[in-house]
Amino acid sequence: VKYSVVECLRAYTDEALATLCEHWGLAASTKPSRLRAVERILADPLHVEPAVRRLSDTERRALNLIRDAEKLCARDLLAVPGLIGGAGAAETLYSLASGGYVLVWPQERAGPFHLGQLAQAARTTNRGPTLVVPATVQNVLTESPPIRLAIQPTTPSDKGREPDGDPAAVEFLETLRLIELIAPRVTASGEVHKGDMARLRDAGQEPGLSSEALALSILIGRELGCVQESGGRLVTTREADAWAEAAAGDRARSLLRAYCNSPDLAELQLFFPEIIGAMEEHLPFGTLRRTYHKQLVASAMAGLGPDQWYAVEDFIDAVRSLDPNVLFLMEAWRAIAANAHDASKAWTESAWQSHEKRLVSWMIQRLFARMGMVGLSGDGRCFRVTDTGRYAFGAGPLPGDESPEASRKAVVVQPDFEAIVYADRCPPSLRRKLDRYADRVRSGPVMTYRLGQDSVYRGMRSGGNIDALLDALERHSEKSVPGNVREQLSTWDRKAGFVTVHVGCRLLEFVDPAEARAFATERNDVQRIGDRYVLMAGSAPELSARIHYDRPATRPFTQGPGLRLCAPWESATLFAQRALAGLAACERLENGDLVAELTRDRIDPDVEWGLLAAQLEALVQGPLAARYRTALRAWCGEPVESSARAAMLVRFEDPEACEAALELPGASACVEGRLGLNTLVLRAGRLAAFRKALRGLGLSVSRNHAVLDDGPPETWAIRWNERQQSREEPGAPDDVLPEESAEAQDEDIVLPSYSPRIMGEIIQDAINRRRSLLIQYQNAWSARPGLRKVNPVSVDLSGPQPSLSGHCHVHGGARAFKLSRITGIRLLEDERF
Amino acid sequence: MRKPKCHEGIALIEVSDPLVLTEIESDPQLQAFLGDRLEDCWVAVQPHAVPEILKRLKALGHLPKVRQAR
Repeated sequence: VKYSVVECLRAYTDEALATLCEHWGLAASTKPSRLRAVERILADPLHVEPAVRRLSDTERRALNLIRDAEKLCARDLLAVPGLIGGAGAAETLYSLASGGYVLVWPQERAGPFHLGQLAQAARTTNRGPTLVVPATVQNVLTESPPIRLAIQPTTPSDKGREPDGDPAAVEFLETLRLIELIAPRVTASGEVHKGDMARLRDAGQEPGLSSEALALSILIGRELGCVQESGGRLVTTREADAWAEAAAGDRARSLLRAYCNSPDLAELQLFFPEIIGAMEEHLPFGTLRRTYHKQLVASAMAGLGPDQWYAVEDFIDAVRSLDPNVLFLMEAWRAIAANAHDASKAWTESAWQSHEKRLVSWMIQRLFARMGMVGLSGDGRCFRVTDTGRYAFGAGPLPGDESPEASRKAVVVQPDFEAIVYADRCPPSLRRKLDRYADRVRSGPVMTYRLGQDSVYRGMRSGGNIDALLDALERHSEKSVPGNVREQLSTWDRKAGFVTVHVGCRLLEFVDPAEARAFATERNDVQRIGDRYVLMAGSAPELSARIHYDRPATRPFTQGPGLRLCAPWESATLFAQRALAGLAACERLENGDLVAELTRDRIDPDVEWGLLAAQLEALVQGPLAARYRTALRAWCGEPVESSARAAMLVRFEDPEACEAALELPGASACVEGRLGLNTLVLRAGRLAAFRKALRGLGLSVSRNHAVLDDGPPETWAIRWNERQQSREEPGAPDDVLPEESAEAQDEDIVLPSYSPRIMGEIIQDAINRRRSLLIQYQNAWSARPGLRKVNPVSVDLSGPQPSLSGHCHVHGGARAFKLSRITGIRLLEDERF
Repeated sequence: MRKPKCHEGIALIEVSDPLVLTEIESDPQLQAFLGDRLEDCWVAVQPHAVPEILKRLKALGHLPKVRQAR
């Protein structure tokens, strides 16, 4: 909710409005007239602008603080007097409020506002009135004037060296690189996982990244938005690239602002370890107090003169004079938390020396110096604010960036795709690009990177482009990039955009290309592919069939006359035609059906015929007819001989009698074979001996001219199977024995399917490397295929029914699986047996 | 004339150059996953084999983009 000026003023007491009128010299005697008069004044820039210009420095600093925070509680503002300019924060606030430069938001159940509440805010525990700056004042308000410190410049005995490079930027870039390399996990509380933090520290040792700098860089990266959590891991963002591309001054300023605005108290943990819990409690999130100690030092830095040296000690004393209570040194709770007997002057002095002073020294000598914002004297006791520092602290203009000539010799790209980088000359933008697009082979003052396809693609996947990399390499290299490197990078770039995989598509197939064309013309949300296909997003028109590819594959072909196969339009999938390749040539009829004829010239005679039969069996509905199997067997060179001769047949009326005859030793010796259920073929000239043997069972054989045919196998095969099953031994192929339907829950999982020939290779590979397999197996008794995990032991590809033998985890025992019934397979790389 | 049929949930590979598709079709490992070639630059692939296809395409030096149909 935002309140207008008049809404705010309506919540003021008459006395408060009278004070405002008095400030502006308005002659109004009643509350409504005072309200109207003040509102008119505050809406008029001609009155507001000169008045704001006349405000004191402390008042303008306070106004800026409230404006930057959009709205601020009075207590929060009064808790940071150092940012306003020292003592007298309450008076400053009173002065601003009595002029209407700061308005108080109406508060529910708080009664009308009177100016005395502002003074009370510092003494009470509640947050006090909420302050805002009216829009007219905001529009004319200039930047905060720097705080002038009572500190004298000094002359150091040893002026030291100029700040060497940009160590903070390098540390920050290293941290980004390590985050990309390790992708550390993030815990529920938002902290980096301890184990991954240790890995980051270990990895940071080689490029010389201290754990302190690593933690600080992660903190700053998060605050800047260069690093964020994604999928439970810490990742870098595009902001990181934008940061690296920015000018040196802007980079330093953004690092400083991110550090100062970060609510993390890492530095307090370092310098106040024994009272950090109490500190956390007294530095609430979302208040200026939380970051006060950092903001105060940065504000004090802004007040230092250009090109002048200052003693670190003097500066720390100046900060203390701004607010000795910056970290609650004057509060009783701090002495209690520190187990001090009493907060005596001696204890206060000692605590300041051992805590606050060390903290501020660290900020100057470690933090700001590494950010290139201050230059240190040889002994580190004096410092001066650099041009970059003045810009970052908000006290100077943006300094000129490093000259292009300086970074002209930063990199040498060699024809073997290695890039040699001189760290001292390498600008952060180039370093960031190389970290993204190349693998670092060696760190140090002279770094080596290797440009490889994987690393380049990794960079491209994170959103970059090759042209920018090439441009950067050209700009920072004395010699141009070798032609072969340039060409290869361009080839990788071109190749990167070559292939797109569309998943979860809805593809319409038309019999007639004209219909497809007409349909595509009518609809806007479709894309025509080829003559007969349309890729669509919305609802489909009236369809003749819908083929779902997220379900187990169905067998599209029916067995036709001769060696023909036919896939009706409704069931022909987009994989039917290619699945038959190597066996038959497919032809599409006008009605959309697919027909194929098995021909000898398509068959590779070197392939086991059983594998080809299994391939065919996996595509056709019902058991594969003998004619196909026989043809394949003959074409693959397997002997399928036939011969003719006269034979004596004996037919029994009962199949049991037939089997009984076979069990008699005397009779079975006379039998050459069995034809169907009821008929036996006798050896030549053994009829008399057979009769004699049967007589022992009380059977007689009569000669007649009746037809001794048991009929086609369809009429007796079922009974034959039943009889055979009752005699079956354990350990037979898995689909012979009915089994529990344990696979019901696995229906949703579908695995890639292959032809039995390729499947054989996958299984052999799994056997050789002792890897488990996940297979989708369609047994004879289930409507849908089930999922099995198998430890493969052997694969038999030479028999008429190629099969896989192994340990089935579902059944906990040895099983055999026909390849033609395996509808999907996946090798489990992670599971050895 | 028969009504159209819908291939629901199919995966397709689109390439910018037909030569790339020829290269994909001639790769023995990818062949197993391929279906009909719909056009010079489009081919159907087994949706359940997409992870394997992406892995192989990367091994062949491509940087395949995956696009979920609307």
